[in-house]
Amino acid sequence: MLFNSIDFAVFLPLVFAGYWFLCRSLRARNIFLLAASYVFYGWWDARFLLLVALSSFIDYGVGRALGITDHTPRRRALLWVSIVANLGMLGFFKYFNFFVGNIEHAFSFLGEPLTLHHLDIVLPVGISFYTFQTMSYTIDVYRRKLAPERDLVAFLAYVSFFPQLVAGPIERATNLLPQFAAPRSFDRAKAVDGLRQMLWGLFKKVVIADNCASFVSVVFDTQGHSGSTLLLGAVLFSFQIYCDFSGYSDIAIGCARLFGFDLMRNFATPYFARDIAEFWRRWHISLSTWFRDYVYIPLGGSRGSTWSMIRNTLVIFIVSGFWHGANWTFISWGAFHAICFIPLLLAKRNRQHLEVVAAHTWLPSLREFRGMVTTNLLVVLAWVFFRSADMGSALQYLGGIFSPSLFTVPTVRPLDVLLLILGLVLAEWAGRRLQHPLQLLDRVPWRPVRWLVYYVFIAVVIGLGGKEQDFIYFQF
Amino acid sequence: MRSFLTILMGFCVPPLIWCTAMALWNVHAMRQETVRLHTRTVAMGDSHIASDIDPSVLAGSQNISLAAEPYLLSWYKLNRITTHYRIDTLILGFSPNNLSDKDHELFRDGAWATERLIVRIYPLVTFSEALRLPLHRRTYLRTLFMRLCTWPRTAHAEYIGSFERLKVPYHPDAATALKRHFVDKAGQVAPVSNVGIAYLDSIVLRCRRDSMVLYLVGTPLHPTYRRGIPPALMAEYDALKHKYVAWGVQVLDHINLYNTDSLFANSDHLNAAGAHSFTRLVSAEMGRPPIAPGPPRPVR
Repeated sequence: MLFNSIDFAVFLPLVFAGYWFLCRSLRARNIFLLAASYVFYGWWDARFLLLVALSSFIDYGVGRALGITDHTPRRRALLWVSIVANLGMLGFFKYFNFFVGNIEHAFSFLGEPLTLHHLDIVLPVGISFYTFQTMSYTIDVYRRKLAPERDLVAFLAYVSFFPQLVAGPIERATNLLPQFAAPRSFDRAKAVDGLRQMLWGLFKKVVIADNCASFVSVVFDTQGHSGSTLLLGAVLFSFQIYCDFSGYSDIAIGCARLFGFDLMRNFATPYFARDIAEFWRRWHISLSTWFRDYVYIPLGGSRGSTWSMIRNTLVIFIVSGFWHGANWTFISWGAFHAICFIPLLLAKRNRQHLEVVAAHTWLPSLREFRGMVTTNLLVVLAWVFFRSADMGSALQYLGGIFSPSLFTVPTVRPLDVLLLILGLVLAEWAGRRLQHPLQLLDRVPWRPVRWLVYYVFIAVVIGLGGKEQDFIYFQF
Repeated sequence: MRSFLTILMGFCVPPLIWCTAMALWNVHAMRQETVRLHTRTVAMGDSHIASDIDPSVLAGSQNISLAAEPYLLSWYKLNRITTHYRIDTLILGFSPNNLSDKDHELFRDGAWATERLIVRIYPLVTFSEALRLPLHRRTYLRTLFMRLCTWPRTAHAEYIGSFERLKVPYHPDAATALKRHFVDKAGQVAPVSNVGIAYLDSIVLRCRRDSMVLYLVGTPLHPTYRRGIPPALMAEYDALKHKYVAWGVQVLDHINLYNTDSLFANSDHLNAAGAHSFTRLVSAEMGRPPIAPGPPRPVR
């Protein structure tokens, strides 16, 4: 079920009413949420529910087993059971054909052509998200940062919680699981802000991302464009993917707030970052911090020799790229970011921008502005790898950008979309210190004015929405 | 919770009032709207007829074709038009691509169906009828909401097209056009559309019942396009041609008429010169003088 669909517009009020009015006890609410989440996920393909359930039961069982043993080798074995099961599922559905294809290529390269069996399987929606979420639980229990969950229903509901099940934020058990165990009462302010955040997310997804999508498809999927058109296509894609994914996160966070849950922030105006390190502190925060806590730090992090620092950085960026998809383009995207990040790390300048840009002023300084432009240029170029179908297309696209025709007028000129993007950038700039720009309306004391703004946004979402598109991150 | 629900309901009231008012206005406007035709000879079909039948050449005719028009839409258009006007001659497009299921997939599948296509149908059918038709339901509902509930409109009948004079040199696009016409979403050749043929049969029978002279016109196709038509569709085309001839319909099959690039705009549409030449031929076959005489003749 898509957040931007009529189905969800019917589903959400029904679940909201059932959750708050029919279910009075905590357990009843958890059971209801679990059932609603399974309906939500099963709407795509009910068969995939088995995978969610399997992953949940394995990690629940492993967590309980970890709770009753102090024997270190046994604990480690249990942890491996969870990791192998989750990554095995992920590997089978997502990476099997990639590895088989690469083995075939390698043998062909060596002059020994080999034909292996490819699987004709559909990638279950959101598998990368919920497997990582359940693994975080097991690892935290293994590290004794979290007590094993006894309540099976609460655990199943935590893994399958519908607002963030298919595209995150990838919630840590330490944050979300205790919320399933605590009594929840309705908080009006939280619910109202949740609705506003959903509206903002819908605006980003339906108005900006979906309208960018048609132009991006034209530029990326057809050939013969000038350098300036290709650059514009890459810029539009950078807004498409940001608004698509952060829009989903906003809707998920807002939706969770309607049910009394607080999810972690997933995007914090990443395109206002002044360097790549800051960009990664602001882009897909739940995944970046997951890799930091469960991969980078166990590898040694930034401690140790220079070479181990470089190795660890390369590992997490490449793994992060690979997490997005079984294609060399994603790996290249990760490696490109690593190459941009490592000089900052070596110069110990990777943590120099911890506060939001222009935190105490209206406008950025010239230096900050220059940093933002440079960072965005690098990010836009990296997105070319992300969007391209294969490495050949990506390199051809980049070659096309850096051609003499870069200095011509683009042949594709979506002025209406560019105006919408300008509006988005201005709103995000004004609300850069907040969770979302519509919180700026808290400063407006008159309700009719606030409502008028909401009506305008609703009209824009309905009137200017592009053709209904899937969320890009569903494929991951 | 109570205050939240009260505020939420209060918030929803103004848009609901607005949407209801708009719906009342638009439904009324839609019901009052009549189509303006100025002749009793009407050419109808998809972009092939739209570009190939030049009404300035065919005496006293009007071309109301639209791109990607399936027989389903032609059927409802004909029904609507004949409630206001009497048509005595109907020229209907009849090409192999009209028999392909791809023609309906455009309206049925979410990946293809757009508001731009569905917008032609909603004024022609009732809500309950539409839900039974092979339309992409969500796109239909969205279109209906956007057209009826958002803004006051005075014009809803967007199903009346016109002649499209293509003044362009020949652009070889046979591969693209064939894919667009005959290859479905899964990359396979789309099957023959039984729905399309059923609607075509209905149009033929309707014309017979109402004593309308029907010409099924196969418009010229470029040789590169003709060679790529899937054999199953071509066989069905030939079989139907014989069937309709046996039913007494005049089938003007000219898909093999021209072989020169100079008369084509692309592989399946004639350019202005081609349309002029082709319409003269059709006009002669219909037994009419080739140039339209005088001003349009008002009917009823």
